[in-house]
Amino acid sequence: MRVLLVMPTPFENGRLGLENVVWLSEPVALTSVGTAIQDRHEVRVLDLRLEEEDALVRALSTWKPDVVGTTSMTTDAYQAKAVLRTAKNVCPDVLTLVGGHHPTLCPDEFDVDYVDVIVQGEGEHTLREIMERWTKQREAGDRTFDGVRGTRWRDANGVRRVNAKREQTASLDDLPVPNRRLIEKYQGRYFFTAFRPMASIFTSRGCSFDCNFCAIWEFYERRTRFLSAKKIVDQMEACAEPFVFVLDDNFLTNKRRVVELCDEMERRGLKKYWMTQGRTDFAADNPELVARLAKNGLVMLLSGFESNDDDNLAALRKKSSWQKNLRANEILRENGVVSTGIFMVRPDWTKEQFAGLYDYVNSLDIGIPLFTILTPLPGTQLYRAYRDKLLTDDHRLFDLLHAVLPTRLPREEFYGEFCRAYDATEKSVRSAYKWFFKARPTFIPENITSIVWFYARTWRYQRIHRDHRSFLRDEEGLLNGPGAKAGLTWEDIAYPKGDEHVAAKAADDAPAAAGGKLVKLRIPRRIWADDVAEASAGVGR
Amino acid sequence: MMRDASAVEAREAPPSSDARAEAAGGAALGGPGGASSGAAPQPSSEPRVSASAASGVTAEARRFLADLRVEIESHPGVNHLFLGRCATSPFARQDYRVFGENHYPLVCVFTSYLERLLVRAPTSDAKLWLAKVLVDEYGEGSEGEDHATLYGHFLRSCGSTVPDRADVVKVPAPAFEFVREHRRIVSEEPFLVGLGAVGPGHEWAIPKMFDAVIPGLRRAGFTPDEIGYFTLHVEQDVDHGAWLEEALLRFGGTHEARAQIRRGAILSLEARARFWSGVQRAVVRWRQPNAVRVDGASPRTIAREILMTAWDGSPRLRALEAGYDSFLATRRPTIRELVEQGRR
Ligand code: B12
Ligand code: SF4
Ligand SMILES: [Fe+2]
Repeated sequence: MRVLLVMPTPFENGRLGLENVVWLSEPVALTSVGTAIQDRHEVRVLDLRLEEEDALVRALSTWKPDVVGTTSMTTDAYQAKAVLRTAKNVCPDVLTLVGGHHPTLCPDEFDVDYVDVIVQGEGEHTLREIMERWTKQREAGDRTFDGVRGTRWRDANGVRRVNAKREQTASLDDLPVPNRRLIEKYQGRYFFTAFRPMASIFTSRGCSFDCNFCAIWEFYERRTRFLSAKKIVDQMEACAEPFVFVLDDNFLTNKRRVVELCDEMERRGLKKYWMTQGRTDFAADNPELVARLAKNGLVMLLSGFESNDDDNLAALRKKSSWQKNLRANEILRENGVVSTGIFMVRPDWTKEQFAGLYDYVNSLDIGIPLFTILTPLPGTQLYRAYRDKLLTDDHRLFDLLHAVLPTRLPREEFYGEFCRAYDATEKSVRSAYKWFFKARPTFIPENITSIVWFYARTWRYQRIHRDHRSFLRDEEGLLNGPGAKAGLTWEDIAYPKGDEHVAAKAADDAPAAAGGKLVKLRIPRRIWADDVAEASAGVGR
Repeated sequence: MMRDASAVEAREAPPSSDARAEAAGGAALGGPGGASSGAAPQPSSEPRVSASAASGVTAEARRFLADLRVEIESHPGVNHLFLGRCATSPFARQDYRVFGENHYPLVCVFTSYLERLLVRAPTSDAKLWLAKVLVDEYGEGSEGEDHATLYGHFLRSCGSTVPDRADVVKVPAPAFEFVREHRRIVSEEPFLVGLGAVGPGHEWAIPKMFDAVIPGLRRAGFTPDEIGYFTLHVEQDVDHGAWLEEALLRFGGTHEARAQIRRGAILSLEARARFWSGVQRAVVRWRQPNAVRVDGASPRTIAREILMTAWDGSPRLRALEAGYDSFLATRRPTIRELVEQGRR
C-alpha cells in the first residue's frame, strides 16, 4: 500500500515561526513510524515546510496514497487537520491518521469526520498494526480498528471508539533505525541556527523530572528509555551531515549512559559535531563529563534556564537553581560548547523584572539566549490549573511567543519589554563568541558561510521580533478564550509560585500574589492514560 | 457566480479509473487536445457548437462530465491549503475582511464573463442558455439582490468599507490577475474554452471551496445572514444544475469540443490556485507586513539570502520597492472601473 506521511507547515505560509530561522528539524516522528512499515508498504514523506503550497494536492492526486498520516504538536494542530481534510477531499477513500504530542494529550480536538484514526503515544508498533488491519479491511471499506492499542477510531456511526493504551517499547534498541532516505530530497536543508547541514536523531525518550509547564513526562509517563551507546554512534556515523541534532528532551540524565557513550565515541574516533538538550544542573554537577562530551563533538547544548530567580524556578517545579545555571554556563563556555538558554518571562512581570532577567543573561555570557513567555501548553499541569483563565484558545498563539494569560503590564508595554530581549542581551552573545573562538579557533572560519547564512536570515526575522506591534497584530481579534470573555485581568489570576519558597518570601511577594490564592500545582494526574479504564470497559465517545 | 448545479448523478457515478489517472495533475493536465495554461489561443480550432449531436453521444459525454468533475474537485485550485486552513483555523473577522476585500472584485465581474460569452455564442441555442443563466445571476432567487450586493453585506459585517468606496479602491493584485486571465479566456479563447472556465471551472469548484470557508466563517461568529453569499453557493439548486449539465452535454458532442471545455476549466482553476496563494499572502501580511519570505521547494543560495537581507535592510531600497508597488497599484483599475471595463 502507498502511505504518504506529511509534515505540516507550522502556520499559514509566511507567518513568524521558529522554523524560519532558529531550528528546522527533520520530521523524525514520520521517518521513524514510516520505517516501521517500510518492509511491506511504499512510504513517502512530504515535508510541507520545504515545499510549494500545492505540493500536497499534487502528491495526493498523482500518487494516490491509500493512507495519509500527519503529526502535530499544539501549535500546528490546525495545519495537521487541514492536511487530513484536504487528503479526504482529494482522495475520499484514503485512511487518515494523526499522531504526535497534541493528538495524544488532546485527542478530542481531532474528533472530526476527516480523521479516521488518532494515534496516541509511541507510533511505530501502532502504525504497523493499523497497516496490517487496513490491508485486510480496505477492500471492504471497513474502518474498524478495535483492539489496536493506542488508537481512537470512528465507527460506522461516527462514534469515536477508544482502545486501550499502547505500552511503550521496552528497549529503544528494538525499534528500527529511522530511515533517513525517506527525506533524502530535503537533505541539507535542516538546521539549528548556523549549524547546518544537520541531521536529527533521538537517543532516548522521556524525562524523569516533572516540570509543570512541560508535557514530555506526561507523554512518556515519567519513564525514560535509552538507546545503547553502540547504536547511537552507529547512527551518528551513518549521517552524511557534519552536524547531528540529538532530539532528546533531556539527554543529560543518566551518568552511566553518558560515560558509556563517551567511551564508545572515543573508541571509534567519531568525527561529528553534535548538539542536544539537557539540564543545567547535570552540566553544573559533572564538569569533567561535559569536557569529555565537548571533546567528542558536543558543540551546543540547549537548556531550559527558565529564570534568574529560584522562586520562579520552584514555581515551575524545575528543581534547579540560578547558581546551577550560572555554573553550567561557565563550564560549557570553557569547553567550547555554545550554550543555548531558554528563558521564560511571565505575564505578571513588571518592567524591573524584565530588566533583571536581561542583566542576568548579560552576566552569563550565554551564546544563544532564547526568550519565551510562560504558556500553559495543553497536556501540562499548568494548563489544567489555568485553562479557564486563558485569553485565547487559538493554538497558534501557544508558541511561547504570545501571552495567552492576562499580563500585568498593558499588553503593548509587555510586548515592548519582551521585544527588547535580543537588543538587551547583545553583550552576552558577543562575549560568548569570544569564548567560543578561544576554545575552538578553527570552527568559525570553517563554517563561515553557514554563519553568514544564519545572520542574513535571522536579521530578517528579528525585524519582526523587534517590533512589539507585530505581536499585537498577531493576536488582534483572537483573544477570545474563557478568561477573555469573562474580562479577567492579571489580578484575577494567582500565578504559580514556588511552594518551598513561599513561606520565606511571603513578604517580598505580596504584590505578585495580589488578588488570588496560591494555586496548588500538585494536581492529581489526569492524563490521557486515564482513558484506558474507560476503553477497556469498551466505552466509546 | 451560478448557484451550484451539483449534477448529482455525476457525483454519484464512480469515476472510471482512467479518468482518475487523467486527473492526476502534472503531465496529464494538457489532456487530449488540451493545453497548458500558457498556451496560445487557438481560434481556428473552434469546433461546431451544435445541439444536434447531443442525442448520439450521451454516454460518452456523460462519462466525460463525470471524469471532469473528479478532475476539478481534486484540483489544487479547489483544494488549496489556505481553504483547508479556513476550515480548521480560528481566523478572526479581521482576517476574513482581508479575504473578502481580495475576493470581492471577482464577484463583481462574474456576470461580465457570461455577457461576453453570450455575445460570442455561436448558436442561438447557446445564447438562450447563457441568457437564462445570466437572468439568474442578476439576482433572481436571492430576493432581487445580485451577488455583488450580497457580498457587500458580508464585507460590511467584517468592518470593511470597500463596497462603499468601489470608485476609489484599486483592485488588489491577486484579483486583478484572476480577472484578467478570465477575460482573456472568454474573449480570446474558443467559445467552449470560455464555457469550460465559467461553467464547470466555477460551478463545480465553488461549492467545494466554500464548503471549506463556511465553517471558518461560522467559527469567526458571522451570522447566517452575513454569510448568505457563501451558503447560497453551496446550496443545491437543481434547476440550475440541470441547465449546466444539459449545456455541457449538448455542446460537448465531439472529442474536440470536450477537450476545449476541459481546457477552459483547468485554465480557470490554475488561475484560482494562484489567486488563493495571493489571498493567503494578503491575510498573513496584514498581521505581519514584514513576514519572512517562505523558502519553497528549492533552497536559496547564500548570495540570495544576503541580497534579500541587504535589500530589506536598506530604507532606500525598501522605499523603492514600496514606490514600485504603489506604481503598479496605480496602473490597476478601481473596482468600479474593473466592472465598467467588463461592460464595454
Ligand atoms: C524538534 C522539535 C521541534 C521543532 C519542529 C518539530 C519537528 N518535528 O520538526 C521546532 C524547533 C520547530 C519546534 C518548535 C516548537 N516546539 Co517542539 N519539539 C521538538 C522535539 C525536541 C523533537 C520532536 C521529535 O522529532 N521527536 C522525536 C519523535 C520520534 O517523537 P514524537 O514526535 O513524539 O513522535 C512519536 C509519537 O508522538 C508518534 N507520532 C508522532 N507523529 C505521528 C504521526 C503518525 C501518523 C503516527 C502513526 C505516529 C506519530 O510516533 C512517534 C514515534 O514513536 C520535541 C520533544 C520530543 N522529544 O519529542 C519538542 C516538542 C514537540 N515541542 C514542543 C513545543 C512546546 C514547541 C514550541 C511550541 C515551543 C518552543 N519554543 O519550542 C515550538 C512551536 C513551533 C513554532 N513554530 O513556534 C513540545 C510540544 C508540546 C505540545 N503540547 O504539543 C515538545 C513535546 C517539547 C516539550 N518539552 O514539551 N519543536
Ligand atoms: S522541562 Fe526538561 S527537565 Fe523538565 S520535565 Fe520537561 S524535559 Fe524534563
Ligand atoms: Fe454567483
